Amino acid sequence: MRNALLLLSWCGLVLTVLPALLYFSGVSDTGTMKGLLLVGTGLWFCARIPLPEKRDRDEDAL
Amino acid sequence: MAEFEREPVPQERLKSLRSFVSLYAGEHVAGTEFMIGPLFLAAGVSAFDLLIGLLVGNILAVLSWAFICAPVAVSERLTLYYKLERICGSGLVRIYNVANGVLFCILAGAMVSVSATAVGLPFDMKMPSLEDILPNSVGWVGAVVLIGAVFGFVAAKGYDAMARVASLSAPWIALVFLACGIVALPALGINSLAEFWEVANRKIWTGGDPMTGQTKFTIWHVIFFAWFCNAAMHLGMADMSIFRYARKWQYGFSSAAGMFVGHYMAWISASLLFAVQLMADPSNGKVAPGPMAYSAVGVTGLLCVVIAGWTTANPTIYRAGLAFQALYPRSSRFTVTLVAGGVATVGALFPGIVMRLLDFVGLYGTILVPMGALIVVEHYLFPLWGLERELASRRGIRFSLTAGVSWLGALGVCGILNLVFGVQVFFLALPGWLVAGLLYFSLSFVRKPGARPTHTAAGEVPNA
Repeated sequence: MRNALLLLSWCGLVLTVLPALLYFSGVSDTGTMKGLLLVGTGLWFCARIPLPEKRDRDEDAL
Repeated sequence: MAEFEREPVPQERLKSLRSFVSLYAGEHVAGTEFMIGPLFLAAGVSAFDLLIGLLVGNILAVLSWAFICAPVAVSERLTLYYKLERICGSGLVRIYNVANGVLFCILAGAMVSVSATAVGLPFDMKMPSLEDILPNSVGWVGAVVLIGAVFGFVAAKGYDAMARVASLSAPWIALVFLACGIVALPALGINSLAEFWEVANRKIWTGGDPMTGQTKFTIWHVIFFAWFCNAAMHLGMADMSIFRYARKWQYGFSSAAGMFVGHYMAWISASLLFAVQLMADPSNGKVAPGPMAYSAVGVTGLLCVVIAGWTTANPTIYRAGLAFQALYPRSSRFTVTLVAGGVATVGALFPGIVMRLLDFVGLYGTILVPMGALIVVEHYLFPLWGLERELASRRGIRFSLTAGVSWLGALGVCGILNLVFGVQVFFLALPGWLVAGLLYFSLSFVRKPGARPTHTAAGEVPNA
């Protein structure tokens, strides 16, 4: 489950910048780019929030 | 910060390089980057001055962290506040804390303003322009008060949950900034990287006159701004509190992650967004991050402006609350943080503050940075000249006159440089730091006339 969420979150992160690159290259239009960015954002947060945080013992103190 | 506030961090609690890299990368991609980038454009900077100036300034900032802040922090392993208390006495540190708290509130206010531009967008709120000083509409007041109240309340409740949101948002925010920059390029007529330099010079950063109310920026302004916008953290030594956990002083170079993601890529991207807006309508000088990000990347941009503003405003309000609480230790943290949030909200109501963010950031560094010079001078020079370190702590002094005169003297010199000689605020932090160090060393030396060089290794305390 953890690995699946991690994979999804990384897909989300890629989708946060890839649509912009496709738009710059002329491959996608504005609407598609904005829609994909939103999907990437949703994926990142939906997959990341349930993942337990990996912290060092005194992370808070930092 | 609940641990090791008044003792050195023990060896077993030191942290890995990765922690510092992610901390810096997250902390320096804030909502205010959306404001700073456009303000460079409004300052009439040229493409060469901006791109090279930011490169040089950010390298100098990283070197300041690596060669000045981190070595002292690793050697002492104390927080800035405790170290200052030992040098200056608790009375002077309280004054420093108040100055720090007020400046934090104004900074948080700028972040509230940034988020308000995103929240107000769906309601067709009138956005503030570069010339606006007072609140420009009832809608603006409503959006700022709403956002300020939410930010202040969440900060007062403690920011554990928000800190989690901040840590998981950080990489996403950085990539949305990058996406904004990439998407802005075709709108500016750049369809391949080969066209970038020519268009950047001709259409984007043309180096012309600044916009109304803004200072004209040269490469020196850009270098000094990039170097000193976080001067309170490096030369001012505030990040001693962070690097006291570092295994080696070389971890100071991890600050490069924050500088080159937040203060290079994000500033340039935000600047490009403003260029797109100006190209579409040259009369639209409104620096409103919400609409700019929305027009580039849609709802994602709007979310990014709100989340970047929120995740950075919260710890800033929280820190301001802690600084004020030092004045009244018996008051509840909840109440003082709410008050800090209220002060930040009042500041956010006035667009004049956020539209002059570059000047404010310069002032912020100038006021706080001289205290860092005292720590550096004590650490490196005092042992060599046989001067007693941490005098306030050793002799139970509550207010070190030597330290107080050095701080105020440095601020006085900066004031004269600014008011009499017209030196702009962006250039004052360095002379302030040098004057404070020189004054502190001279006054300490005068107070101990018999002092001679002893060639003691740095870090030892000859008079202990």
